[in-house]
Amino acid sequence: MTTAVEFTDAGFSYDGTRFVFRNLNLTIEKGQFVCLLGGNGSGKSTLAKHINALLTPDEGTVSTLGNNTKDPKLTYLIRSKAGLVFQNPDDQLVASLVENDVAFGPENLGIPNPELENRVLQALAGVGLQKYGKHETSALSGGQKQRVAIAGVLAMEPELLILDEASAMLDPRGRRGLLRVCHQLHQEGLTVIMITHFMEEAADADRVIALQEGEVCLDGTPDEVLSQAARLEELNLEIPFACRLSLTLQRKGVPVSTCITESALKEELCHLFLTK
Amino acid sequence: MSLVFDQVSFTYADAKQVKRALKRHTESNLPWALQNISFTLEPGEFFGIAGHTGSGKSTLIQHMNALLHPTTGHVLLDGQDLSDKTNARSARSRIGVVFQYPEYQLFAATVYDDVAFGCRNMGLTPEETDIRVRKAMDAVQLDFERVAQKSPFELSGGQQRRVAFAGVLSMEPEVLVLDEPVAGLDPKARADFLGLIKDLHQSGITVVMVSHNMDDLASLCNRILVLNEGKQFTLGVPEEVFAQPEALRAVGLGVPGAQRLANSLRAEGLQLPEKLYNENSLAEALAQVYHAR
Repeated sequence: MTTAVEFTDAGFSYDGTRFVFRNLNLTIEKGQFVCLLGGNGSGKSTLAKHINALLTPDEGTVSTLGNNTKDPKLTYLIRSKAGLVFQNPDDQLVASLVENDVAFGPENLGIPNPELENRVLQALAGVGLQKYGKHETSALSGGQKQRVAIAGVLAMEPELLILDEASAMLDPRGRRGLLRVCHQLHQEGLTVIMITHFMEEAADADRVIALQEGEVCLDGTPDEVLSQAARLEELNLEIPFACRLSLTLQRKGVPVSTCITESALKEELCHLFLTK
Repeated sequence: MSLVFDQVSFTYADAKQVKRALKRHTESNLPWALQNISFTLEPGEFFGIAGHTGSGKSTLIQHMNALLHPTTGHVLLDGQDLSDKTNARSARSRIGVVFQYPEYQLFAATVYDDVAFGCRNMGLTPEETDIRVRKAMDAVQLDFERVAQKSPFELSGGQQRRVAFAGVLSMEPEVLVLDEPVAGLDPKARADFLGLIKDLHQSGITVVMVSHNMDDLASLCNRILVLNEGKQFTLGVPEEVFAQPEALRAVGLGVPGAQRLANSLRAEGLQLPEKLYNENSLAEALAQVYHAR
């Protein structure tokens, strides 16, 4: 089985009349790093909450790691395999000490000591906070809090990590740290689904999906999606800086391709200007 | 209006501890949140404050409307020391502070009451209050007829933030201090808000803006103060501040995208004129180099 998440003709509405999405078909493969983009109200967060059965579809099915999210007997299994990290670092920590907070999930799964202790240590090491076990959660920075939240998910040994704008409230340094941890976990085999407004974060993904009013409107590699400047603008999304600059350069008659990362653009420019 | 920070230092340590340390000349051991901050805020300017988390930005702006008083040094508004209670009171209506995520501080039953709260506290008449509430809501582009009698909690996050802004604007401050005003907004809402702030500044209000986003600071500010560990790291016009990318990176900050690319192209040996670049000026400079070859 290689499918991490599968939406089949899925539909959901909060009030029974207006559907956030309807007839949605989307498959995410295991082991991928997927970025989900969309303006406010596009249905991103609602979709994320379907993946770990916080919400279940009114129509069609959602299956996470082969488990139907509508089956109440599978709810806890799904939640232990698919962890969700939210936007506000102050909303999601429950304990006063870092290690207690990380232990909360696996403890609820009934993991006994010493395995519990091992998992906590490993999870903290996984997010680079091994020295912070005895620290108070309230004294951490926003970026550290988000990493503790991720460690809490990791301690449940998940296969899937979903981040719902988890970096939106962080400073640049906190954001870089969070992104580094996510890519490292992805390399270790975790499937990562990242919801974000930051295009720089999307540039490093395997696949980028953009949503509009509950429908998938762009889907492809970062190069395919992020270079469609006109389309991104329609979707209330930001065009990556490098892409905007390459388009302006093209208009001014400088032959560069539409680059989505600064380093790619820099290389092209160096090649163009500095080699004879 | 003139707001002067004169050798301002501040510590959250308790008064006894400070007194003892000052007496024994061991004050360098105190945990200082701010140290020797001196600058003068010029009327009408757009003043940026940058610094990574924990650098003292929020502590600094709380001194601007006398929510905190310096442990040593002075904050002077038109020559009057804000450590004095009466001066502090008048400063609070002249200098409006919008904190980070201000929508979390909304509390009244209706948008109208929330926006009117400051005016009523200032002792304005209901008629005067009404005029100001309408004006403030208009300034943040909230439709008075549609929104005023709604609960603020029925509104979207972006609209809630506008309500919080209006609550400060209704006091008609001469200085508007904004702590990360666009954090957590989506790109469209962010652009709308920055436009709004620009309009307010052009209408004559002095603006102080704390931000992590170097592109925003570079495009809006006349001057930028960079803080690091409570100390003044640099203070200058954007061109000066962003001319030192390595130093900024060392204190956890970046430089605007165009400037970053210009710097790295220069490092590779490309000849570009020394100045602050934005997207258009960099594209223009590169096109010139290309067509001149």
